[in-house]
Amino acid sequence: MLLDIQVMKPDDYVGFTFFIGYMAMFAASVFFFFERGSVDDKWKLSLLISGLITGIAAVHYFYMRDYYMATGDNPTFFRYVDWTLTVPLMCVEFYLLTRAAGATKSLLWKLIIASVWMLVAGYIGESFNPEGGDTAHSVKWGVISTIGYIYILYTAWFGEVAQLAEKSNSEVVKKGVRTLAWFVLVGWAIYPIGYMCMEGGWLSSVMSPSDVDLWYNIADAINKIGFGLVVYNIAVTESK
Amino acid sequence: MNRFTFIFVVCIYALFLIYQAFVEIPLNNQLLGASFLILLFGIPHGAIDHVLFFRKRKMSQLKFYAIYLGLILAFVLLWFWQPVVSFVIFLLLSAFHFGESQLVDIKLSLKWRPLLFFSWGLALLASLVYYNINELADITALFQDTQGFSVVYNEDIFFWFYAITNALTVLALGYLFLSNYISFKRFSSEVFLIGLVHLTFYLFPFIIGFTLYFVILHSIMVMNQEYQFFKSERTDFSLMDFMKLLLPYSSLSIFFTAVLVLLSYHGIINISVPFLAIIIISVITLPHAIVMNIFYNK
Repeated sequence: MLLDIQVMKPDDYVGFTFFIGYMAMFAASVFFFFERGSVDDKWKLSLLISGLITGIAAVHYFYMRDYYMATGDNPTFFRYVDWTLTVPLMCVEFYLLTRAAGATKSLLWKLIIASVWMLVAGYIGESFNPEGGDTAHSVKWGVISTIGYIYILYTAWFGEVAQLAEKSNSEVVKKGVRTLAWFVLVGWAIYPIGYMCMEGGWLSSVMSPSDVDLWYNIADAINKIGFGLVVYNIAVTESK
Repeated sequence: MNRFTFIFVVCIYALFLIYQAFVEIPLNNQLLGASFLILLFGIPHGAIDHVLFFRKRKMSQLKFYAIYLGLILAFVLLWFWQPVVSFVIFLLLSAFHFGESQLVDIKLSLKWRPLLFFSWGLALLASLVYYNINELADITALFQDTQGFSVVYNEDIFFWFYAITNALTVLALGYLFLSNYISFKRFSSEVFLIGLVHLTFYLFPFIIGFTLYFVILHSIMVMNQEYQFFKSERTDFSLMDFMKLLLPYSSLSIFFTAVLVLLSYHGIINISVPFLAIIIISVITLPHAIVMNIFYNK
């Protein structure tokens, strides 16, 4: 019902960040969609993708917020659906930024496959972990997932993406790609940490699942909106 | 992030997963893995000191070896006479050497360079000890001849030492960036590396944390500097040539180290294996640090 009122405690920081995350993602989408009009044509697709990333996340945060309010549980399913759509789109941004320097479709597909590989393996590892935690299960899928992450990290820092950015004549693109690579290195690091906090995990004594949600929400907002803002900055600077 | 930091990050993720599987690694296994990696990478990075020295300075071979081996002998004697003082000298020497290998390419006046190197290295060692002070105290208490080092592990002193050296290092890097000695890219890489090293020392036991740093961020990085130097002298110098150069001297060093450790293990030398390991590493470090200082500055 539309008029259902959910009661939230003032110290429910997880719930607080779900609300903030939802609104911030929504606002960022509106911003990116509107700003498409102020950049050159060649950057319009990049801004559309940025808007889609935050837009998809906003919708999922809307559901995750409700799920959390109703059950108090981790909305793992929604998170992975969100990530499976938005992370490959972030990889598309790498392709779009370096396209002018010669990025090929094969780079795009390699990055998309690596990101889907990483997320599907992570989802199986996290969601199908038996009650009480099965170490062999979580480690096996953790290793498989990490391979995908390391591939993207390498490509962004030293591989094709980094080399294409170096080859591009634009200092803004070089700096922008480097900044996005920092997002992959530092911002995305929260996700494996969260993975290890699941039941029976190495860090489960350090962080409870609700703490993990808090950090996921903060990291998601920074990674998705920050990622989009870097792309926006490149587009605006290059359009001048 | 450079390639060495990338390897470091990959190893941290691998260790995360190993810890996810085993929760903890027994001390004996830690020592075994650390010894293997240090012998494989640590020894070779200092195995061609004489080659590097003669590329930079003219001196008779006899004089060089007399000084080199004389320094080793003098330090061995100091260890038996004043072990705690020797330990402190070893820490200071290592700090300078680690700092120098990390920041040697920063063009700074000769007056400030040593201070920067010391600050970086001391911050590293202080963090390593501070995060693992209880574990270190336990390990040193296990053996009679290392119990004396417990005076060094004072948590209160180390907290201030840790806080001051780290603050100074980050401030110094910030100053170097603001004064255009280093780029923002380099500044952010260095700060990130410091953060990563802190995380490693905090999360993992002392032996694993130190081995990770020493092997990847120090030994492999220094070997790369050495390799690049030879390559700059001879463009057709290959990785295979470099390995051939390292192999005989590394093998010799590993052989003698193994003999000494075996003698200690079987009680023929009346020194515990950890104490002997510290002595061996420190007496090798002294002339190595001096040669590397000449190599970097000439």
